[in-house]
Amino acid sequence: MAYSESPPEIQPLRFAVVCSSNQNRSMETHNIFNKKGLSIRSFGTGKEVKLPGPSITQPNVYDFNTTYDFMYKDLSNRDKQLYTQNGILHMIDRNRRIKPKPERFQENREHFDIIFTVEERIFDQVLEDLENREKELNQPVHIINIDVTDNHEDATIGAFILYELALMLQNSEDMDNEIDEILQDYESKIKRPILHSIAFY
Amino acid sequence: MEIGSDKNQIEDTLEKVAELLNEASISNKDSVRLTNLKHVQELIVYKNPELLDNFLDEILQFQLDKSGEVKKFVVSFIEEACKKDTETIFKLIDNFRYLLFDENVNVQKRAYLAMINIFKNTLKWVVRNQNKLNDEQKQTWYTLLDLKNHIASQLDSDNDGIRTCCIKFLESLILCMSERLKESIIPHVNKGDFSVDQLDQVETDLFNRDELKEEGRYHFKTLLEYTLSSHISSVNLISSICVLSNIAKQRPEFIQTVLETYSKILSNIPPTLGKSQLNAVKKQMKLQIQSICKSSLCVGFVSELTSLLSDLGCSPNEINRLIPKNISIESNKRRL
Repeated sequence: MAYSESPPEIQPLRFAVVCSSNQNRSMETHNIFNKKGLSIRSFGTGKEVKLPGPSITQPNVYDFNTTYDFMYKDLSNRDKQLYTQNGILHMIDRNRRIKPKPERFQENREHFDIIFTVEERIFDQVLEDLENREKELNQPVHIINIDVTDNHEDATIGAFILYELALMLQNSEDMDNEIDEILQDYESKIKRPILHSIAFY
Repeated sequence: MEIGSDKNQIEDTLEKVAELLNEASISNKDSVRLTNLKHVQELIVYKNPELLDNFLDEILQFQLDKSGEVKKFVVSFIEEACKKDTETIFKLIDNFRYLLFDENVNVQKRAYLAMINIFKNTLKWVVRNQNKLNDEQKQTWYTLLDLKNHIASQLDSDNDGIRTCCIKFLESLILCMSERLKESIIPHVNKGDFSVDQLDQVETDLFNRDELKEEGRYHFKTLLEYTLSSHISSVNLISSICVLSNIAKQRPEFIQTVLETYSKILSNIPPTLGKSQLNAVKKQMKLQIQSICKSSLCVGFVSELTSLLSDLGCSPNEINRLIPKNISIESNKRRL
């Protein structure tokens, strides 16, 4: 039997990132992680997918089965100028190049090593969902929240903050043993509170 | 005709598995070996378990692989094979023990977690077949008991991830070594698990019900002491909080102690925890208390639960919402 003579390959951590509608913050992060070659899936925890509409009280609402392509065409037909100006069409166009449609976290049964959330409320929803699942594997998953404001610019900054953290976790030799220290150091560096919990599949 | 096509299918699988294993054994790429081995597992553990014996030795050779990920695969292969057929452990115990003491901590952790299912399933099997065990099977059982004691002592480990796995392992030991009552809330996947009340006789050559329960209480006490220690990390405090809630729901005899422990945690927060870590600990505790409140077990503990929720910063309105009204009334009646 021949054994590997080269140094052991690093097993990629399985990352997930979760926002509310799987449109802006999670998809920007998905995009960056994809480009940098990290293993990533993205989700939303909302009941429906909500996008800005003509006014704050009139959001565009879709269910999670609607494709990004349909949303793109639908909003183009409704008011191409408005949705081009506010960057929504550009965002959905980016999204449809990454995957066909938004995905709801609560309906997915894949297992991850790290789940990032971008808002405390979403962190709570993810914890609650994991708590309510049947647990059979006894495999741990770390859930980490860093608040990211839901606009295009902050989503880009947030994606890089999460990427830098993901890289540190990926490069850690013994992630479970070092994660506490990595997060505390990173919290001081980025000056944003980091929530960290653990659950078991 | 059908028998012939089944035979062909088995031959195809044999050929495919041999090819995958051959390719894995000569590849110097970890990812290729891992992918091939996972494919083999799919074919001989899930699709054609009758072929398992044919390739056992070839697969187990990979426990000597340089890659931790490949060795972790062998652990999960052993776990899955034992899930399919508990008696497989009698053939694989030496391999499993070897991996559990691997120098790579990630392999060790994977083996500790695999031991949760391996131990409780073997315990159940040994209890049922205790009168007809041969010497080799008895020896395997004693080896598993040694491994169980080794993992249970790992709350003292220097490695935080190892301690997390130990906490999770202790949960399963405490559940096996305590009685399931009619009030117990058992998750669907754990319905078939062993609990000490399944022992028909109080004492046999291999088991003593009182001693088992005593051991369960000992592990519970050790876990409580560790949970309340000032040096515990936030991750392990959160793990303990979850594990204690699982124990409380499945073993109502412990619910009072678990709620008291939650209260002690809140009044003696480990000084090493930062603000965000404390916030995360409180969130998890609130989630676990909510889960207890949703169950019928909270009758009789309304005042403790109310007090805990209040300490966690819940408003009276929120507390009223979390503790169902009919349960509050029932609890008052019981107290009267």
